[in-house]
Amino acid sequence: MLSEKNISYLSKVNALLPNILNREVHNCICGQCNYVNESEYFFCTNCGFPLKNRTLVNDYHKRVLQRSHVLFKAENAVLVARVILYFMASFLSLGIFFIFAESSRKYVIVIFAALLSGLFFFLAFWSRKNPFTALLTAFLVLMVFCMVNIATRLAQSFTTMEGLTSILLCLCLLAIVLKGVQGAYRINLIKEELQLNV
Amino acid sequence: MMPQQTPTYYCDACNEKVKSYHRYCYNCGEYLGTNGATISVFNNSNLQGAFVFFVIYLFVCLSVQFTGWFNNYNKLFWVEIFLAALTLFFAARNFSAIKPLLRFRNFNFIRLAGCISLALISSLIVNIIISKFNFSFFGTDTSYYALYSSYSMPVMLMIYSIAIYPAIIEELAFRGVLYNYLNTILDERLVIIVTGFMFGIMHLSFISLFWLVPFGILVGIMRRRFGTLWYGVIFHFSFNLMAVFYDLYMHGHL
Repeated sequence: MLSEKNISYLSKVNALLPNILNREVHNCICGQCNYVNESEYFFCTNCGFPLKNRTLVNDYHKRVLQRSHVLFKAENAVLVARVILYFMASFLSLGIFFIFAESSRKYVIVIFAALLSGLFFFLAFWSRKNPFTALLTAFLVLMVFCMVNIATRLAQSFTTMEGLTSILLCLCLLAIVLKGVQGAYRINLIKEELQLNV
Repeated sequence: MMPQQTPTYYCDACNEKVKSYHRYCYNCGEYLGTNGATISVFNNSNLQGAFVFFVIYLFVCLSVQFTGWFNNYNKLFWVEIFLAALTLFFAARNFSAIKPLLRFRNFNFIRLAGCISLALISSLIVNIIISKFNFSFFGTDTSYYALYSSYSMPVMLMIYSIAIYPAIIEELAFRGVLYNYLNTILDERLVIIVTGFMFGIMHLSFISLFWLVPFGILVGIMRRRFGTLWYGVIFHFSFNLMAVFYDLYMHGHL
């Protein structure tokens, strides 16, 4: 039981508290995500689901479907880029067979092939955890290798069939990895919008 | 005490005032964050800046390495001047972000001594390994001294061109300009790795990649941990200085 002294003290404290007008708050629970919204809201502020106008529910589902479709395409682009990196790594690992060649520099070629293969395997594997960063790094590494490849034989690169094929191949690889970079950039944003686990 | 003002947010679609924690507009149902379906990574100004900077650097390095245009230091000097001007231009464009990194904060003699010792020891180990590798597989070793031998005070010129200049300009370029650009779109730990890779591949030597990338990552960690470029600059300078002295010693000029 509170003493009279305490009661008078509390009433004094209460008198000092700000006078909140309209204490009654009407809330509205979203049927889609169960988020508590204020009653005057037309859409859920957590998932965008229409709270009042039920005719807009179809639009909401269409938008989610469209985002899911874009997400699927972005994930596909990342997957293709990753497969290309694995493919390059596997192809480069075949360089180990140069050990049976009769070249005086066979050991250098074998070491380079093994290291380069390891680098692309690492980048492909890393893209499972951090797709954007891994693919961006892979794109930069690949771009430098392609440019070095063109620059070392600058004259032949643009005048021989072999050189032109090599440029075309470089451009194709770069385009695929770049598409993966774009896809990886989108994935996080769309997952954030759809509240999927990023 | 002045009451803190909370920022006001508006929906881009209907211009209605929304609260900071709202994910969707309560009035029109539009998503208030970045629209992932329409956004393009190519429109990101920071990524564009980083890419342009990197590609210019790369073209200059490619033309130095693979053309015969810059086969003496007279011409290479102007390349150095161009790259320094380019780096300073980009640094000046983002000076507000670069400025705090130029202060020598949390100065500690023990840390500095550790940084220099680590650089000298690791440089010595790397140079011995590279030298042995070159002798074993190519039957020869490259000498930096040959490029500078025809000038007066070649050793001083080597120290300037190999140790002082790259330590300042490369650190400002990779741990300053590029790091800041990428830091706006990536997690900082990932930025360290990416700038480490960029630093490594910029040297256009495949075998060097396997010590330049860890070098770049280590200097990136220093920049993140100590909040200044100077430990990285000193580390880079000590590392390259040891390479200069090792080169002079191995070729009988010391």
